[in-house]
Amino acid sequence: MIELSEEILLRMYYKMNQARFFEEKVEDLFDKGLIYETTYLSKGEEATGVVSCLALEKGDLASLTHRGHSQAIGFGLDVNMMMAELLGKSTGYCKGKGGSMHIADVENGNIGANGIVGGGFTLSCGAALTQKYKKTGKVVLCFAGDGATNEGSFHEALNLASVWKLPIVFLIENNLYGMSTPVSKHMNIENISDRSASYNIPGLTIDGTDFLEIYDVMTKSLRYARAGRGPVLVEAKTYRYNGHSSSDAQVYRNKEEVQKWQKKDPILRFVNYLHENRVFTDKQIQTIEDEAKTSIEHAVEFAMKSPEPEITTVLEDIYA
Amino acid sequence: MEKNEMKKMTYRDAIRLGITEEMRRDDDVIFLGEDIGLYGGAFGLSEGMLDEFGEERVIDTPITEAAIVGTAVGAAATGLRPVCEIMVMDFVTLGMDALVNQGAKMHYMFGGQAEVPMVLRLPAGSGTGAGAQHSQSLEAWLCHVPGLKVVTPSTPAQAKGLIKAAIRDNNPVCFIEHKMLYKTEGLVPVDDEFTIAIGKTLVERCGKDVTIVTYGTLLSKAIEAAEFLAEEGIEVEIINPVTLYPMDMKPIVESVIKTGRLIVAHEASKTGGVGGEIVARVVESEAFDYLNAPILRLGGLDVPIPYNKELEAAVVPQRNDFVHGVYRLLNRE
Amino acid sequence: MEKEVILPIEKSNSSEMIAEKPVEAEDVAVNITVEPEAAEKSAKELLPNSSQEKTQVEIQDEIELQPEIDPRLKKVRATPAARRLAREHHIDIQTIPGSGPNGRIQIEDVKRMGVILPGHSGYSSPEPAVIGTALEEIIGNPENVFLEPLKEEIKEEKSEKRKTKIKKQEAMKPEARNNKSEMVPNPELDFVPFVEGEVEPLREEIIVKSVPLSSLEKTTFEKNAPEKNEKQPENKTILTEKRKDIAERMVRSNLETAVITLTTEIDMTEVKDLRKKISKKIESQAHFRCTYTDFLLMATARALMKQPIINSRFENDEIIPHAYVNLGFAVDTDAEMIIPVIKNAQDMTFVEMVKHRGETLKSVKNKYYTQEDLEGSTFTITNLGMYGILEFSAIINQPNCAILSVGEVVQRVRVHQGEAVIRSVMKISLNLDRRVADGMAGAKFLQDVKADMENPSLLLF
Repeated sequence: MIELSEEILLRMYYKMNQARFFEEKVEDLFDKGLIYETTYLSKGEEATGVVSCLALEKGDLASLTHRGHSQAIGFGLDVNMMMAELLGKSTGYCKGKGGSMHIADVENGNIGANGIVGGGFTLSCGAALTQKYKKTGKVVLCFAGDGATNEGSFHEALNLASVWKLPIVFLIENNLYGMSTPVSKHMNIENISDRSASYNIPGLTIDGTDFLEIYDVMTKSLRYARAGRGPVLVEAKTYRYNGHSSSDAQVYRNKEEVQKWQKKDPILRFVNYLHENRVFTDKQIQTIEDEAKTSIEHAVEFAMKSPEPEITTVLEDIYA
Repeated sequence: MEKNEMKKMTYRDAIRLGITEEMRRDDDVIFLGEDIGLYGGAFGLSEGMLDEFGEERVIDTPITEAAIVGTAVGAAATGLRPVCEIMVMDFVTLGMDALVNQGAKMHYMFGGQAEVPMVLRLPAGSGTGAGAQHSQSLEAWLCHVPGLKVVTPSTPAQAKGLIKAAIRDNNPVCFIEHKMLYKTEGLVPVDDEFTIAIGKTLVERCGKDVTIVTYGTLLSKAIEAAEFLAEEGIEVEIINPVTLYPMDMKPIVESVIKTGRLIVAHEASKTGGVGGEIVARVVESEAFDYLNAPILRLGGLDVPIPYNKELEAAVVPQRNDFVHGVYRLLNRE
Repeated sequence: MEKEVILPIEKSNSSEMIAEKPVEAEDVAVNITVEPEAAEKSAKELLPNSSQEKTQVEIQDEIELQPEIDPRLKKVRATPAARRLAREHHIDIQTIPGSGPNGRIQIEDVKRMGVILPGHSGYSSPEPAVIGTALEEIIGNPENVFLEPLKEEIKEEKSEKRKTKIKKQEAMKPEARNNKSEMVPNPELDFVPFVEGEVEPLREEIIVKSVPLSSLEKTTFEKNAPEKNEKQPENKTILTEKRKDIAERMVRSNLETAVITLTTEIDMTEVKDLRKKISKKIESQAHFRCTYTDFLLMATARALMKQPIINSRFENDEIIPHAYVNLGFAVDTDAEMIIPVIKNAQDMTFVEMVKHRGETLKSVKNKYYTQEDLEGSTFTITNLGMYGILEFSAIINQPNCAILSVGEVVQRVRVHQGEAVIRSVMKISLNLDRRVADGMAGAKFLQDVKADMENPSLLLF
């Protein structure tokens, strides 16, 4: 039985709600035409994104995916600057030059969301090499999707990390579809964690909607990696409610499946847990939700009021 | 040791010396590549380095170019200064995603947040009989990626100066060496603060009749041709861009204004090569009004490099191609 | 009172009404629903004839503006450096001959042009500029450069550098010519334009350097050549082949012959005087005007008979003297030089010579000469005097063994009968193939020519 302190639960619930509201807001803004790139929403994946990051220590690093808003919020990025970045404003994390797919906060350890599927694997290896070389004792958390594990870079990275014993935890969010292809059609195995055997590293499969399990497994894996025993491969089975991107008509799955998973909604489970264990009162729960919502609304306000970047900045920051 | 003291050494040893000096100077510099440790490098470049710096800093990697380059990018973004060796330039194709989509773009894409101070060493060029997949010169690809810097030394002194400058540069630098130049010898400054600035074109030889812009293995051929032509009273000016991207065009433009005639030459295949870019920039500059003859490009044939020795030599421009090119521009042919 | 009229634009009456009857025009204007600009337009359209012509001309222009010929023919190949230099010095790039491949003009060509300024020396003429003689048809030819209209044209163009030439032009006023047509040798017929009683300006100030024959030919006619090409583009190719042929022959001549040059100066004053006296008579007999060339041809023919070695040919290690004298004399037509031959000059009388020379030139001008007319010369004369060349050295026209180069007749101070007087003098140079004859033979030949020219009455028989 895992004991989680109130503080952690509070942060978890707050951030998961923030993540949910953030995604809803982004969807809303997109429908209104204010966000011009296509959006990759992680509604339904909040647990894997938020909870695993909360298992990290201060100073640990993470590499996010293109569907990384909840991962970013979990890691501790400022929703104001995130929203500003989505709207392409100069106050965004990347000064409007990156967009949703490239949100980064390198100083604080977020080495960036990646638009290349599987692009983060080898980068995380590099980051982990730095930690090992400098003996910082920090670990790198590398997020990826199920589709990414078929890229060559996944295997190269796992091989390298395993042979060099790099402090890195690979968290695969298996949402059962690689864009429009179901897992049964893009790999021959049932559980991605089986691949860890090829590299002689520990591999686990967990329920990606159960925040407790995620937190437990992640804490242990991070401890393992931090001890210098090598990388860990964790697979979290989860689901995304929206299509792959905003332009996805979702012809490849049916409504029943979506509804089935929505019953296992991580936030719902969290609320149930809070009720069952009488951690917070309803009122407190409501406050947390409201605060999360307001923070997102503030973020939108901040982003809308922020200025666009100057045209001259197009030539800036080519070289350091 | 005097500041200007020079020592004769090979191009290959000059590179080793450069990396060694930088590794001594800065602990954050690490060196990774295939077979560079105990084996001493596929071309013997890193001999002795494992002994000096140990396994932590001279790292033998598996055969995993994508991961080597990706690791280098990730390490560079988080505080190290990796120098990584891709055995031959042809293999850069395997690491292109990490180099082009990640390393070159991180600084810009993240609004100036990440710095990627890595050096990617790429031995390029034909002449060793290694065949089509081990003999290419792909600098043109890399020159097309904003965010990268592409440099190529042509003499031992340039090799040492440039590798040091590349390691000290806070950007991803592609350092293109020429395999055929490894054994060439030259005087190299012993000073460990000697660097050659990245982004500065060098004038190798002064002249007044024709300008030749060239680099790499063709530099020595151009110099030979120039000496041959000097006997006939034709003075050729030879310019080495050194940094291919971003290239310093000013000395080239000034030279063309002076001579009115230009030959651009490189070993890489002519079509889509760096030569076309140089020609276009000269024509776009004020040198256009001073051109007194069409601009001539000498480049490798648009073929994969064949194995047979004669065929291999026939693919790249030789000294006589320069001489005939100069004659053509002077209307003597 | 005018009835209310709504005028359609086509009616011819309206223009008159508007133009001639202002009062009614006003009334009419009230009624007219046509706008003022349209009314003007209608008036113009209805003006008899001229507008029709105009529009036709406009149509012509439009057609010319849309040529269907290869645009490259109108364009000039020139390097950017050459164009810039030409621009800076206000030289029309089209007038510069190019020495690069395909005739490309290079910066060296432009630099060369800064020395000699072509086209407006006053000697250019669309007619074949003939050695020593122009045809009688040239007289009164409106295109002739010596007449006034062209003079103005020349003035309009960049005149700063050409002031000396213009001064010279003004010196040859047509009135002067017309009044003294008897006394003054007709400039068109002469080697050189020449005005009685006036001192000719020194040529040196106009022509600066001697240049090879070939490039001079180009520069003189370059101005005309582009025009010709526009109308007859196909001629261009033919010329090039001929040029190639000429080039080959020139080189071969240079390589095979061992040339020595001998020069002498002839006092032409007597010839001048004699010519004035006899020109009318000769003209009535020969139907061509006589010129200095005729005297020279006679003198040369005689001298050659006296020194037959100069009148031979060198072939296959044999020297073959001729029993006859066929005189080739170089004629410049537009953009090519040909050498028609006067056969059996040794037997001709003066009148016959004048006739033959005139006819040959006529056939050249009208282009009905045949290959036979160009063959068989035993000796060649070439003259650049009308371009102001004082003396020059020509290339032997093989299989001849010598060539006589004739310079300009100029006025100089000479010692004549013990006093310094102004005499007309002319230099002639003999280029002789040393394989055939030695210097002495050449000298004797020139002596004979000089003697005959300085006592020209003897030539008349």
